[in-house]
Amino acid sequence: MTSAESMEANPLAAGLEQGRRAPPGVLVVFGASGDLTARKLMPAVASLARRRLLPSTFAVVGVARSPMSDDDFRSKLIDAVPDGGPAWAELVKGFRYVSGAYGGADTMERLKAVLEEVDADRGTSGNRLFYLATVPSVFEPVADALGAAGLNSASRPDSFVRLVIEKPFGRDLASAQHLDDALHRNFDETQIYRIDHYLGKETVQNVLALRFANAIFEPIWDRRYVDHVQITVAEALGVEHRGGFYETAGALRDIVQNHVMQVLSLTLMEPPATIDAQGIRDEKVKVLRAVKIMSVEQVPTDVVRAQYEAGWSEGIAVPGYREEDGVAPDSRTETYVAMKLEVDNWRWAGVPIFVRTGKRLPKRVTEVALQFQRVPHLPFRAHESRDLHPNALVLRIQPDEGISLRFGAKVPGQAFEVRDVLMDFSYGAAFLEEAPDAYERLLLDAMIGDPTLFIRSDEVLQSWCIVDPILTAWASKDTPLARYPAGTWGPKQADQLLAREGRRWRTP
Amino acid sequence: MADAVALNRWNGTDVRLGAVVDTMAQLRRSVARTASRTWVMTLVAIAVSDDEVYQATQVLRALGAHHPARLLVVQAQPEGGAAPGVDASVTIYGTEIDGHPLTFDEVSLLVKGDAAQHLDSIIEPFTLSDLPVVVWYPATLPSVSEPVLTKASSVLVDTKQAQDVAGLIALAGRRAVVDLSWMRLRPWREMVAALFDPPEFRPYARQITSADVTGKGGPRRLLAGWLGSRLGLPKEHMELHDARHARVVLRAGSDATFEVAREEGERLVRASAVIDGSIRHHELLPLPDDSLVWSLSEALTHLGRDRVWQQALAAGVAADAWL
Repeated sequence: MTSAESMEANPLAAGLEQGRRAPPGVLVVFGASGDLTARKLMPAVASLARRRLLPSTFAVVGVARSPMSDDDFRSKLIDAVPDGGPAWAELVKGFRYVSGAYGGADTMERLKAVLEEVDADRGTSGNRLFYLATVPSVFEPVADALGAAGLNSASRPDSFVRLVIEKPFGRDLASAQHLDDALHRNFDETQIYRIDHYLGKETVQNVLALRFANAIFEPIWDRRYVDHVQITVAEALGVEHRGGFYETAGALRDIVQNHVMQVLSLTLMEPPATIDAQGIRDEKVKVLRAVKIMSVEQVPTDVVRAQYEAGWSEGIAVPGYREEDGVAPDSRTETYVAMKLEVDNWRWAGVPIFVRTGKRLPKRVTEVALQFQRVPHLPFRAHESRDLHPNALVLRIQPDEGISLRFGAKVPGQAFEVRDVLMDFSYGAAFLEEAPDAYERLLLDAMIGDPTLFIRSDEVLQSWCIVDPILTAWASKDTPLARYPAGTWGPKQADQLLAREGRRWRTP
Repeated sequence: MADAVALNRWNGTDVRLGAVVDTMAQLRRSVARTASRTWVMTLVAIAVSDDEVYQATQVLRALGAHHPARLLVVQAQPEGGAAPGVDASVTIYGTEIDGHPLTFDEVSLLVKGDAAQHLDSIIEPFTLSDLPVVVWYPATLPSVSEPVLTKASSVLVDTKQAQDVAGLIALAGRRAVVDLSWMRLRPWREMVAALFDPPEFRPYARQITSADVTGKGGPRRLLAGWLGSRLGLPKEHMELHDARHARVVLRAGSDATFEVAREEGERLVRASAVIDGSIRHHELLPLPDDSLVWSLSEALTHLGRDRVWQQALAAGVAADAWL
């Protein structure tokens, strides 16, 4: 049943705009005893319930290896949402738990039986949302086991079965293709919801609103006016307790292949005919296909990899990456990447796209800056405009979400002196409503069946095509690895990447 | 978010409105150089007594800290034979959201004598260009012919205490009217509607034969009007009871009973369905916020005509006899 059908059939729902309310269904969480479930998923479920966006015919079934009774599982979930109160405790009473090996046939048989009981007890209508909050290595066995148990397809004509998976979607192009094939053995692409929580952020979606709801930006959003684009995804934190994981990932896999490519595609894509799943995702993949794939030989010139050393971050002395727990003392894993990309299409040809991401940078910030070209002629004397820079439009994604426009203004006084001023808009200061947490938004979308903010298979594979030559180049031990002190904006090589073209990084 | 702090203040008696506007600009320049100024609307509260002015000011101040509207509190004082004139005070408030400095203006006007009959000309100099003007009546209901309404893109009212709402129905036919009482009932309406979301319960929504609605006067009338108009229930099939807490019971013959009620002594709402004598559904939900600041915030995010509210209000008025 879709919510639209429910609206038509329920005379009391008129005017309540309940189109965003989840239909009946079971959220089946694989990895139910893990960190993601307790830290993100269950708080998101509780918040959806608090906002009355979940129907009473909703339940969670947890699946994990740890032996646990239903009651133990429920207690764990109550602990996971300390401010849930009696209403959360009441909702959790209907939740169930199945323990067993993730890919095991017997686990799936028990899960199947529990799901049938939940359908009967809670009226969940045979709708299933399988959420793989597990390590990536079990995606394939779980998908296969679901298929073998017949849980991959709807048991009723009007019900749905969907599969949600978390990044990383592979480690490189070959493994991503392998994972894709494995998932498609048992699930159609329309059933697969790949989560990148960045897309659930309100301000990432606001890029679409800014670009396509305003007539004034689109005409200047191209090579005729834009000199270059800078995308920055900076983190102030180090690897914290994730040293072991990070050693196998690095900044390129952890951030560039997914978050950066998503932000890049939303910023540079053509206007879609419709703001729906197909309209947006078709345009995103089109611009990703236009990103020039660099050759392995080009990598040392256009990509900088670096690792942080001990330094001072936010007033605290912090260790270098190689001194972090779980990190090899001779590790060559990059904690910083800067690169120059080119987009070969009519809109962006000749406009370099500079990307940088790193850990232990001076502050946490994600932004896209469009640096506009200089005016063709400055009619002022040099000393009158020495503090003037080209216009810049900055989309701040986090924190302090908003938009800034830099332009020149006359300094009050007898002399005609012009200087940069910043016009600043903050979303937090303009709207009453609190934006939902990214997981909350995406979980609801998956239950409703709206894949717009999820990543389609072709997007994943094209993103890997872009970063794969870099991985290949870095596989060689000869590739240079620059170092930067913690708490700085990266190595000097990254500055040189822009300086050789007469440009420089912004200071966010 | 930090509490709003008054950064600068100015008062004047029998002032020219142009001078007040100039003063606002000066005050702002003196204290708010670095603050953002993101306006979304002009919000005008029309108060008739000092108490109302005080209450409206407190609420708008709390709201303004979230929401950088230009806030205007207008007290009309047509009686007393005073010469037409305006006393004004202007305050610039500063606060911070996520480390981002933010300021908002608050203007209070006491409009005396015949000028009080022309509030449209009083508020015009203060409205922000190109942005909606929302006029809020904290305690009274406006008549259709009030001049100030010609400047309003939306009108906010509260039918909680109102006895005679017939004029409001006429006003709602001309411009967008948002009822704060209806906003407070929204979570209740959602909870009642949600009982019929499960496919097995949905058919009962078309088979409701009687309803009990319990609560305070205005909200009870709206809830009853809503149920009557949406379910096609004749008034003789509805029973209304006066009580502090809201409760809705819907019956489909003798087979099924659906109930949403506040748990006594708890900040919880119980929603249940009993079919053929057995409990088929039971859930506890958090009690919705019903503060004035919350309902005003809700109203400001749902500005626009609401046909369902108009029908509920009309049905509630028609059923006045059985209240």
